[in-house]
Amino acid sequence: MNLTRVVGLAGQLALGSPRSRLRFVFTAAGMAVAALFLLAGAAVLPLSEAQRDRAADRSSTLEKGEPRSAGTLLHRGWSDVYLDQPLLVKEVAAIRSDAPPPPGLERLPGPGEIVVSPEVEAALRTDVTLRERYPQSIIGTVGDAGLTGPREWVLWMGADPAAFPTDHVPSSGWGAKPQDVPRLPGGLRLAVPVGLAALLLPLLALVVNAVRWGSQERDRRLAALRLAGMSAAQVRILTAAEVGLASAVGAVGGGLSFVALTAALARWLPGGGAFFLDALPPAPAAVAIIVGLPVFATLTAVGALRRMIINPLGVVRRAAVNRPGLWRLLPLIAGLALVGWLLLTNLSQSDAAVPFFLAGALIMVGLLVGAPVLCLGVAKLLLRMDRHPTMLLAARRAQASAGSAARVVGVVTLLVFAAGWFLAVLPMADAGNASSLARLEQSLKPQTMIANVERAPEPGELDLPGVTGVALLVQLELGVQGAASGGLYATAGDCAALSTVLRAPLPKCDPEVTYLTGVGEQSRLADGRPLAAYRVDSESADGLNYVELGPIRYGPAFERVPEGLEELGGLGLGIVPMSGVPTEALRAGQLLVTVSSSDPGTVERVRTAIQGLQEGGDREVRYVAAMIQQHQSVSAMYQRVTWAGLVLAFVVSTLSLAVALLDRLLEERRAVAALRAQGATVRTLRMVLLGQTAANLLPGVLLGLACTVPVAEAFFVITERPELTIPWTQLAATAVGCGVAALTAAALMLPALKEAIDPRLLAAD
Amino acid sequence: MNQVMEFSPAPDQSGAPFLQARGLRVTYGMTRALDGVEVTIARGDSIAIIGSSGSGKSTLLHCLSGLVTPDEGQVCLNGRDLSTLPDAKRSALRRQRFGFVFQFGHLVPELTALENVSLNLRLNGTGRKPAEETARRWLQDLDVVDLAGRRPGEMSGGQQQRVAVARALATDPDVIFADEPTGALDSANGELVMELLTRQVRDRHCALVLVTHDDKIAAYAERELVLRDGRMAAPTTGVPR
Repeated sequence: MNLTRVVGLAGQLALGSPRSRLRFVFTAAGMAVAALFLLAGAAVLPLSEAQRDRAADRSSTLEKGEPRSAGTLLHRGWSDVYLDQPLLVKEVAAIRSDAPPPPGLERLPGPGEIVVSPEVEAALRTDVTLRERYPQSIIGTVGDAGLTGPREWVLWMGADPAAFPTDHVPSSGWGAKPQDVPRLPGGLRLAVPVGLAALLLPLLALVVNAVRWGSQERDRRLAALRLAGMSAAQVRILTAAEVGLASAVGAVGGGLSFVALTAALARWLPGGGAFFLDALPPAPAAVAIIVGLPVFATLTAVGALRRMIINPLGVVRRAAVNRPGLWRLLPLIAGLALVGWLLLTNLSQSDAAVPFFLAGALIMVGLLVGAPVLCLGVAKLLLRMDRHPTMLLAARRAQASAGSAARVVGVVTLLVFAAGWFLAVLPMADAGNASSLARLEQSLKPQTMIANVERAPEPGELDLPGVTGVALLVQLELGVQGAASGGLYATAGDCAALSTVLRAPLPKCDPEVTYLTGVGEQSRLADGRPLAAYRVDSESADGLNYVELGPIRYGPAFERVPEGLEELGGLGLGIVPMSGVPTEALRAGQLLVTVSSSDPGTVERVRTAIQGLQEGGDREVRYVAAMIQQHQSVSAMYQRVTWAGLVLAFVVSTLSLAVALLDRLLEERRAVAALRAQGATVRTLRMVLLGQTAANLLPGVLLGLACTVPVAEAFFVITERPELTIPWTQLAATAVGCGVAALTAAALMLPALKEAIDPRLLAAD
Repeated sequence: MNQVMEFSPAPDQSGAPFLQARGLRVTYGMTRALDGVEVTIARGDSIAIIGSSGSGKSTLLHCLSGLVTPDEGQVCLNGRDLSTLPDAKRSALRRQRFGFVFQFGHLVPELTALENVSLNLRLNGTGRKPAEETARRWLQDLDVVDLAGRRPGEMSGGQQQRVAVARALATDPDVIFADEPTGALDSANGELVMELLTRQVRDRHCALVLVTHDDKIAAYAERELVLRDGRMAAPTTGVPR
């Protein structure tokens, strides 16, 4: 039988009847889903790297070893925000006429000129407020080479070289060297492949279930083919071809869906940027996935056939049903025992690392391998209880399906364990500066912006609609009067002005009381010696040379910053009357502006006015809430990637479970119809199916979460984080969510009961 | 969870037909499966519905047992039209008043023989222990009590069928519906099953509706009714032997 005939015959059999067409569609759909997810997972890293490469291409450089005089241009950049849209601003000034333009630009903009990305150009043409912020003349549009994504907001601003500090390092060209391009954080580079591997397990389970779909009917067809004269080997080849055909169609369909979806996402993804399609996964990876999946599916089918005897009288499965051995629980027990040992001993973090990871690995393997024992054990327990015939039926069906259900149950259990673990350690990502920024947000009034400014606003300069509070924080360098040395830092602000931006009114806001803070500084200043403000005058071989600017007038005692203002204190806030600070020491630092209006146009006008007080490369004007978000952006990215992977994996597992349930239901439809004929109500049958699913799955969910607890506790002990606790509410919610999702998947299959209980199935052959 | 719904037919009037079908018509797609069939069954009656494959025998049995609602016509049990009953009541009826024996037994493959036989009793509200005691007695009567702890996959065809008969009789039904009960058995086992079935039916004075294409099996019934292409090929009340 040549290949063409085999494929032709396989196609004929695959599409010859409604039921076989349905099976073909199911198998192909399973493959398509698997291909889509795998391609998407494989695309994440290349897309991220491509975006970073594009960003690096527009970094200015000076060749190593080149003198500064070789520089042809000056360049700096900052991040602006307009209506929550990030806008990258790049200021550039040509020193020499041969200064090269950056990628995507035909020439460098001069003073008063800007080159903008297409999205910014469209916005500038319609938005008056944005135009007020950037009133320069638009001389061109940034090409694709200068963007990280088709919807990125970028603005190149021409400037005079005199606008740059004298010590600003010039550049001679564009494009960071590969070794200088910041790669993705190591954690993310690890998280993505790990997430992909985690996704692979349920995807493969889905593939296997899709391939086994309708296997009983196919068995009858195989026997008929043998009866017609085909040899066992020919029948196996034909079956493999049928599965291969469906899988290939599905994999190609998944690939095409990926291309179409990616093209849509490339234009649609919100937040600007998105990505260019030239960064899609490299061809070898895509080919490996689209070819590998059908090969895997075909091998799975061939492997299954090897366990069967196909003769003209029927198909017999060779292997007897083996009860899962208790040895399958050993890895889980060993892992938990190791965790218990870690909790009891007091190993240092470095000593505990290896045993901890070993314990985690053993537990994860144990959850997968031990799933059949768990399923069978729970079914037996329910049988012992047997309070109702519905429970009896559900328990018996769960017992009979323990082996096949364990495939999905193991994966779901593992996913739940991973989710629980992730929830438990999540608070660690919020530690540190993020929490201090959160406390800062609690100190300031809502909608307060913070910006670093070079000069104080002129009187009335920020008297704009919507502005209800303006306060300037000045930075002081202090020292003991007459000591000719500073080294102590404080930030001071006008008491009355600060009250306009702080949530809580300042206590004792009068000239006689001074608050000075800073870690450890109180003790150094507590001796009551008079203080003075200092400025660094020069630097010599002996160190910094200070100039005394004048005495600081303060009240009779130093007091701690009142509760609630610690974060401002953490920034070195000292609330002193501004009249108590020498004028020369009033070097502007941070401006706080509270805007009462939520009108975006009003907010942007205020932001534009604040930017007028700024110079240099730090012109961000941000809401504190946005600062918190940005600070957490990296940890948020980890969270998003991990949660996306876990949720996707769970969805795929649930799909796989639904497919397996439906397949089994249709295989056993005569038995189900007979039950119905004898008087079991449809409601009873539904409860049996849901009970069977719950009996198989819910104990796995609970076990997965239960294993999280000792592992997380051990982690907290090892990392010496006693303040972290098990998030019981979130774990319970996860358990409930997983259980509900799985039962919903089972419930979605219940309409198939209609076909299963058709009395015509009972008609004698 | 499973309401024990009682089916209370109209009071039995001696001599009146127990189960009666009038003017039955059933169509599946373009195929007329039954066309104007009428049959009357009294308590204790045994009737064999005979016909070739595709004549509508099983469809008639399904209509008489309330599994299928006819497109036209009526099926009355003690004067009450089954098609007017909601699904839950018809299910209760099948559990409490009817017993079924199918060609391949159609035992629940995951349950043991004892559990299969006791299942309907338990669905009717009988407790587990009394249901299993009753089931065990029936398995004893049918000489398969040794198989109480075995699953259908561990039994021969004949053994499965005897367990199926025990299941059908366990609830003390008024009517047994048997659709080719010996179709998958060899002649010796087939005769054994029919002997057991008809003896029990006779002893308990319940009606037997037997569908078969085999004249030898049909001979176990007192009357026969012949179907051809969905129509009666014999007088409507069935031809007595």
